[in-house]
Amino acid sequence: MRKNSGIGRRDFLRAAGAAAAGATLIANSRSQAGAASAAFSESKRIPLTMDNPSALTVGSGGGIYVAGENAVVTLDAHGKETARYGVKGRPGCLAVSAGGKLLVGMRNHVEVLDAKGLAASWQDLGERAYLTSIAVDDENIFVADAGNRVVLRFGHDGISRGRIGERDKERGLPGLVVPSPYFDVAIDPQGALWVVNPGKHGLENYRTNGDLVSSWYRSGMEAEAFCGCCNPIHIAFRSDNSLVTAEKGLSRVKVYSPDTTLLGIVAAEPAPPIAENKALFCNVEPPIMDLAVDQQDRILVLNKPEKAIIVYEEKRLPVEKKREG
Amino acid sequence: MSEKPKIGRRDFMRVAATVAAGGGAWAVARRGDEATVWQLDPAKCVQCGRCSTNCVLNPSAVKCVHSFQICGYCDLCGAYLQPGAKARDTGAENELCPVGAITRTYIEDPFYQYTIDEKLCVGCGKCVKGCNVFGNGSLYLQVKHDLCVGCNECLIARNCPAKAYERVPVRTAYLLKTRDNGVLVPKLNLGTRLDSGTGKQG
Amino acid sequence: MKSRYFAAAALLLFVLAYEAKAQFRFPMPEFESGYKHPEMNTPLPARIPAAVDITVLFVALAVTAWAVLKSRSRSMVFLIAIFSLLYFGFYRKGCVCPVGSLQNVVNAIIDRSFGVPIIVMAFFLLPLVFAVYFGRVFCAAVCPLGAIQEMCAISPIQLSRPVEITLGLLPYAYLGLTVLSLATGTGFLICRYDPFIGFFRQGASFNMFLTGGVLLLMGIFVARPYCRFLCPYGVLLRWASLFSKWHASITPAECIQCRLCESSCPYGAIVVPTPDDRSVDRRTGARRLGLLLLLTPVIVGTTAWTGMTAHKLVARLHPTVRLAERVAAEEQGRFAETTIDTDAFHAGKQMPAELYADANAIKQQFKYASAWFGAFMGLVICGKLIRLSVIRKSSDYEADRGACLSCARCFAYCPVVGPISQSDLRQECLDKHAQS
Repeated sequence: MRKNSGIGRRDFLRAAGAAAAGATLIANSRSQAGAASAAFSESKRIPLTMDNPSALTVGSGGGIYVAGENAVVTLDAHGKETARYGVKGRPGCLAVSAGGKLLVGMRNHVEVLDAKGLAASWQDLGERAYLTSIAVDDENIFVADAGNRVVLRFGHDGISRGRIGERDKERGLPGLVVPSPYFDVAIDPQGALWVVNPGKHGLENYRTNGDLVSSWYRSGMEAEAFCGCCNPIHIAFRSDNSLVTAEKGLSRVKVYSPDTTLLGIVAAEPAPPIAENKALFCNVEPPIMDLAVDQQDRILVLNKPEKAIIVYEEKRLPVEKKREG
Repeated sequence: MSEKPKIGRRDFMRVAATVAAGGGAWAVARRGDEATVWQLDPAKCVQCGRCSTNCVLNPSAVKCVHSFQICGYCDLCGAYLQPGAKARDTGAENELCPVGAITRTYIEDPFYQYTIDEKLCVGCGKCVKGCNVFGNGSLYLQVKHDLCVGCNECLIARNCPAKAYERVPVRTAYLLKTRDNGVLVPKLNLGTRLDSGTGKQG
Repeated sequence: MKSRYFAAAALLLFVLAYEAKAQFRFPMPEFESGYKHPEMNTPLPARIPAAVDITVLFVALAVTAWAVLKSRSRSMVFLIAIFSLLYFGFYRKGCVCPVGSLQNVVNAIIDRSFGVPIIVMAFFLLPLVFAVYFGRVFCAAVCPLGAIQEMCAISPIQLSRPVEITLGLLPYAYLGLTVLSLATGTGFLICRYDPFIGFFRQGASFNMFLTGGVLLLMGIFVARPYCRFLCPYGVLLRWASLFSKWHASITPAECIQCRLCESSCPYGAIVVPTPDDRSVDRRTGARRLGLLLLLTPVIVGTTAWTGMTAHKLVARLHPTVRLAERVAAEEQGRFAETTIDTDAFHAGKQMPAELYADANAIKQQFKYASAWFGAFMGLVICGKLIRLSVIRKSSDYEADRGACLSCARCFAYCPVVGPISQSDLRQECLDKHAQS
């Protein structure tokens, strides 16, 4: 019926659009990094069997880890389930250490899972705490607490080592603006800690001792900016130090180059009609629950309404393809 | 003399009819029934704008309310400012509200307070939409009972596309938004498809 | 002992912790300046207590009954009508009124889970109970819709009998449609099409104001058009009033057939004495009546069948049926654009197949409901025809028990002086004596 033909038309448009984009890319094969020239397409979709998927991370061995209601599941690179752990509740964030331990962020504390199950449960961080992100490097584990508007630094033993990002008059730090429970941290390929300041629509780079090194913000409705009250909600880095961001409100996934110019839009939905009197259905929980980048620089998006991990790959230029042979 | 039984029978039937009607009425009416009022469930509302146009009163008895506990006090407020507003000050061309019912006041860096002037609000729901999409969803529509005349059949209720109106006991005359674990629990299953492909915004 | 306290404390902590977990709120920003947010304004409705309303209704009915039956004063009835217009109309904004309350009651009979508040029940029953005893005193001066029309009945004309009888079928149709609408879950038709409530609450759509205005303008000449030709509650009051113990009578004592009251009733509710020479002889009349009685099942069957065949059309009154039609039409591509309702539907959990099934079930309901409605209308028509054919002998000018609204206009036209008390008689004699 009408819906079917609609999909048929869309497929055709996608193909035509891709061909057109490809043609322009061939024409501008030496385009500057300034233009948003990268193109992405969905390459794979991994369906999930759990309820309410909430967090996603990728391990160094290629394994995919997904957390949902009362469960944390390990998948192999093809999406087949290899292990399932039970947890109490719905984890907000997930990370995996180099040693293979799973760090599961519950609402106000971190739980550590190893191959046998629950290995440790760290201290309760208080009534206000709301953990939204975990980033791991060799020495530290950084836990983003949206409720207290701070990033906590732990050692791998679970002992607290410091607080980053809080308001500090002496150091001249205004503090992080976190209006809602979307607050992400990530470590870039060079090992630097990046913290999202959602209220200011940007990222801040901190040293482990809490010093602010650099920051950049982009507020606005344009493609290269972040809109709404708190965006981006998730970030991840690719191996070339480019930054992948996910947003809510105007749900989209974008890639920025290391010099903070927009490289391309991975996926986006049409702008919601705010000013018109049209029925608007806003999923108050954004569709993008989490973001990760794997070893092949593929972008994995945890899409809750679709109940799947959608894998996006950057389209290589045909010229380069020929070179690869 | 012969008339007496005739009147007597009719009288008896009248009394019987009255008693039966009264008894039947009692049986039909709910015991201990409390008064109910119309109210809108914010979790179901889709901000279609009919609350402002369908109320029998003009302006509508439905107004926007603000839950300060949920508000993020953002500088770039998705409910106050038009999407793509050039500036964030209190200029009419920047404001989303068609009647200018939202007042923005500076508290401290970087927080701003937003309040609704109920005398101006028409219940159109545009700010609710903006807040739900771009913000925390702290603004929502509710029927104000100092204005609502309590129609037997609420016209807005009849025309609400999301069937968000229901009769609630006067004790709980307002269906206030609450948070559950920091996130509002949506009642509608809403899927948004992300269009990838050409790199252009779909 | 110690362990018991410890256990209790642990339990308490557990409960508190659990409670705290269940009610977690993402914390507000911490304000350094000591800012405190304003409280939300949630006013409660200010309604007149039910007891007050019911008392006022009872008193108004009682005083009107007394004004009509005992003191026979048109001006008093008029004053009460003004009071009712102000109180039941403008102050209470005309809702809930007895006319609409019949929907609540019928709905409660049909739908077991629907509750009727005591005030609505009282508003439904009190006028009917008073009608059973005193006639349609509610219509006379208590109903606000009647009162507003009463104010407009300035130069009423008499309608011809055939017109009046035909138009008199409309209230039955309205009542039948109301019940049909409730039985199929379509909604409250009386409330939807109340023409005067727009004036009472000073807010309505343009169409409603227009309808109300037209009816009021018509009411200058055709008195009380809504009451006589539309009001569904009036049907119930008519039935109740037919059995009333006491009723407004034109003459306070005996009718002397002076004919002065003949054209005094703006509502055509005066029964004229039958002429001695009948226009139709007894045999023909009886045959006509017999034929009508035989034809009744045929007519009722026909109207029922008509209702049943028209059910698809009638079903379109129901919003679910309309939505299903629109969704189907959009799927087939007959409409390019969606509506807010179809958008809302598609984003919800229900599948179109379910919606179509629901709509079909409702259409089935309409089938039987429309058939019953048709049968009801057939019965009403036959009833009216039979009533017209029945030879009724009356020698006096009387108020039609069913149609008379007890407005007391005709009292002034009657020259008969009512029974006077002994003391009044003595006073009259004394006055005459004093004059002579």
